[in-house]
Amino acid sequence: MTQSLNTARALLTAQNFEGARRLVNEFLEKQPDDIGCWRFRIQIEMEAENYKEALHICRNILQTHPENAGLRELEFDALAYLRKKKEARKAYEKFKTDFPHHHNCIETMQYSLDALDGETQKINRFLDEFDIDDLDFSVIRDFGITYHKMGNVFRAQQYLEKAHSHFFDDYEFNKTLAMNSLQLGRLAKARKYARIALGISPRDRHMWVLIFASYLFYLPQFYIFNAILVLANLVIGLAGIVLGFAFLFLVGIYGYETARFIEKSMSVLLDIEFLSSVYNFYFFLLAYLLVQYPNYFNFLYKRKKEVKLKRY
Amino acid sequence: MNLFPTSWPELDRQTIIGVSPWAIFIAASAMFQYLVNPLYTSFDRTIDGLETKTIYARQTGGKICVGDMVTFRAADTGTRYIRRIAAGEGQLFSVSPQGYLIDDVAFLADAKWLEVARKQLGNERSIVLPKDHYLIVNSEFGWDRVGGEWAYAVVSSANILNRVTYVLVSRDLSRIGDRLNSDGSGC
Repeated sequence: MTQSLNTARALLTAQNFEGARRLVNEFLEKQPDDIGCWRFRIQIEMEAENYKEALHICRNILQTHPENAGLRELEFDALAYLRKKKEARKAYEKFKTDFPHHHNCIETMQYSLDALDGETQKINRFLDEFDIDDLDFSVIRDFGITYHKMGNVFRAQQYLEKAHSHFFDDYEFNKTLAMNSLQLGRLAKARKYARIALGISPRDRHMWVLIFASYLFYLPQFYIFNAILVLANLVIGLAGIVLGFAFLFLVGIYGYETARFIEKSMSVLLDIEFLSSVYNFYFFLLAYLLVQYPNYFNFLYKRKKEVKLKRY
Repeated sequence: MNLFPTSWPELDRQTIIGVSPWAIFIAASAMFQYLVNPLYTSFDRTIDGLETKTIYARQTGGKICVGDMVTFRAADTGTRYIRRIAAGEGQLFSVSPQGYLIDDVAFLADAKWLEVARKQLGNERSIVLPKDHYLIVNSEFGWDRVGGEWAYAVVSSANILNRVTYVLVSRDLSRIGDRLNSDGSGC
């Protein structure tokens, strides 16, 4: 039994969700009352980003085991991932009344509720109180990932790079570090970490796209794009989507003309004739979308085949 | 996998400081494009009067002189060309057996140009340019993508869209900011 569960754990770290799911299901058919195993089953769904399924399983077990704090925490996490603000707040308040002695859990829940509302200052301030030299490497890694998710990329880079020597074979860690380096504009580093992540999981499309996209940053058009999209995001957040699109449309015209002028003047000054075309602008927009929202383009790829495992 | 859901950036002091240079850059580029209409020349070849590997500024308005490079609209077809102004108001243009004359100054031309010019002139021997009209001689056939063959054109000032005025970017850095046709022979 323990052997099959260890295999399932190994399959989960190798991102083979289907295999891990099957092994755990076999185990649960024999021992349906093992809550630890149910938690592992939920964890698989969370890793596979099937938050709805995770929430469904969680609520089913909570009907018979409402006193389990760990399951209640997982329920809250699933709700937070699904961005259901009201339900998450309800779950948080219930948790607070039922388990008032779980201070750390309550505090982290509070921070994720703040993050749901878009207030990242509190958690940044909280994390800043710690001295990096006093912390354990696993804590430094978690802090770095949290800083990355909160948008504090400079601090995230500092923490993640310090922890890299201890987690150089961690797939998710290298992936986060690559993305963070790209956000900071450290292109060679981004490529390096992306290649390490690809060494662990060679079928990761996101990392391939990241390596491809890092080369785009050497072209002047791309910087203009970034500026346009940052401004557009600001406007969307403040005044609504319609205004944002109008702004993007207006600035996009000027952005294209400016990009053309910069490109042409660079080609004159450097005495190099670029192979440019009118459609460059739209090509780079597509590239940016591919990097930022790669999941929207999943229909372009073939589906992954299931890995058939031998029975030993 | 997102640990926390993403959020929009807040409009606090830090964000305003970070974004304002980009906003200024975009506003400046918009103003630049409103004021200056750049003309990019090819790396290989250009028409007579313009250099290769340079970016020129084009401006509307101002005084039009003989010798200026201008963008003009053909009165009949509406197609646009960039050429040099050969002669101005009151000057005499005529075709000779070897080429053409502008106020008794002779220019040589090839046989093909002469053939087309004679067709265009018809029975007339010479043209005196009326007020606010300019003569443009097409010494390079086949340069334009559109439009048929034409040897010369008499264009009114209303059909002249803009003039090529300054050098914006050049490999020779001392040329940047130079004005074209500074001799002002026609004005």
